[in-house]
Amino acid sequence: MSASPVLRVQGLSKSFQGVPVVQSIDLDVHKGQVVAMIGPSGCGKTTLLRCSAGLERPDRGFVELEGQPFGHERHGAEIRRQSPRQMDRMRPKVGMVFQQLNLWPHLSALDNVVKPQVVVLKRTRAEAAERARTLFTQLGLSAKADEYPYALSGGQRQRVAIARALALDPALLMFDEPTSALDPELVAEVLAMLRSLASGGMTMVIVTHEMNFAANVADRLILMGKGRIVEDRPARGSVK
Amino acid sequence: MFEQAYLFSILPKLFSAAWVNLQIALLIAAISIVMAMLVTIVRTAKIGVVNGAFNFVASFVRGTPLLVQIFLCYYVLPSFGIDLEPLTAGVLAISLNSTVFLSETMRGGLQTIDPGQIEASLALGLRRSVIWHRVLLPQLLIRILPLLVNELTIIIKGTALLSVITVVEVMRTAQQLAAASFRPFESLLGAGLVFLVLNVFFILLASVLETRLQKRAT
Repeated sequence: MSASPVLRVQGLSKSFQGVPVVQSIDLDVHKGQVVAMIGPSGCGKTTLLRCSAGLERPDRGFVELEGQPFGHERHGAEIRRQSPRQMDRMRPKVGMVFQQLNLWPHLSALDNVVKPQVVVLKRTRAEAAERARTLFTQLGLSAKADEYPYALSGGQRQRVAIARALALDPALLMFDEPTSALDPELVAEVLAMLRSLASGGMTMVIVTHEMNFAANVADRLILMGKGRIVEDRPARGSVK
Repeated sequence: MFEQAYLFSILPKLFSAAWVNLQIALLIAAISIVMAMLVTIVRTAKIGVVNGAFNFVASFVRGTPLLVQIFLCYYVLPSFGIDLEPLTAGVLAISLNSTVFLSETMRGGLQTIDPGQIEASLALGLRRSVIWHRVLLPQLLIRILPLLVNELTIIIKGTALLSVITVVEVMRTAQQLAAASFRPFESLLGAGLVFLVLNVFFILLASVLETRLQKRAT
């Protein structure tokens, strides 16, 4: 099992209303890698991310997480769609931090992180709260645990969203444009946080359109254009 | 001549009759909120037959007076073998009416919730039923709180109509007092005051809740 890549994408294609957005992409992301995906708007990077996270169904191709199929299964020559239930079981393997974060506004910061653990992983509330508080301490959010999202700054909200994803112990953490919804002065803060996650061995895929940011955070750069991978090379700013 | 003393003398009677209206109204509100949530969930499944049936019932409920609906439940249903107590018939009629209006309100409110809420919940592995229960409905209820209170005041006022099917509540009590004292003006004014007090209480309560909760829905 350890030989399987954390994320494997094979021959993935996706069109919207007949317009091909992602075209036969192959991609392996191995444990501990930090991959930055960059490219102009509309190049398909977000769609690739969403297909990998099981939020879109690819038209063709396969996604595997730690060697297990996600979305479609092969049975000999036959390809079967997984049921929503089967997909739900795989979802905790991928943590997704959305561009708009999508925190739950009606729950406190702590409950945003506690609820999914209780509901999805069936942890007790006490276990879940302990895990959440540990993450909050690591992310510098301890003082904000009981605040509601509206009372938090953009940077704090993002850290809550990261904590919410991390609390489910994902094998892979994916970020969609983590800097675009933030004030420019917070970019350094996000960079530092992503680096500390990377040094902790977290496997990450980060979609961004900021070349500098990508080069600084990642150890592998994937350039996309017109729905295809144009270039795949090591990044200079490798943390390891 | 308007007689203040008489008005004051009947207020205790009217307020004690208001318990009936209050209990009926809260029961109806509870039934209709739950039913409207169920209807809202079912409607999002976009099953043609079900939504068609709902639209048929809804157009009837919205297009006819509540008073007619109450009469139908009490006087016409028995001829179909459904013989209801006045109170039951009244609760049924007003609940049906309220369910229709609330489910329209909820459908509208649902469209204002960012689809990102569902996506993030799905991505974390929450099942659809859990997303409704833990994410969408709580946010929806907070968002439509002012409209829920508005509907509650309509329900409270609607309970006055149950006087016509012999439910002894504020309105019927006032009519009885008016008949006995030949003082319709004071009696009906008294009934009006009782409804005003009930509604103002809920409106104030709601505005307190609203300021506390509103920020948590955006």
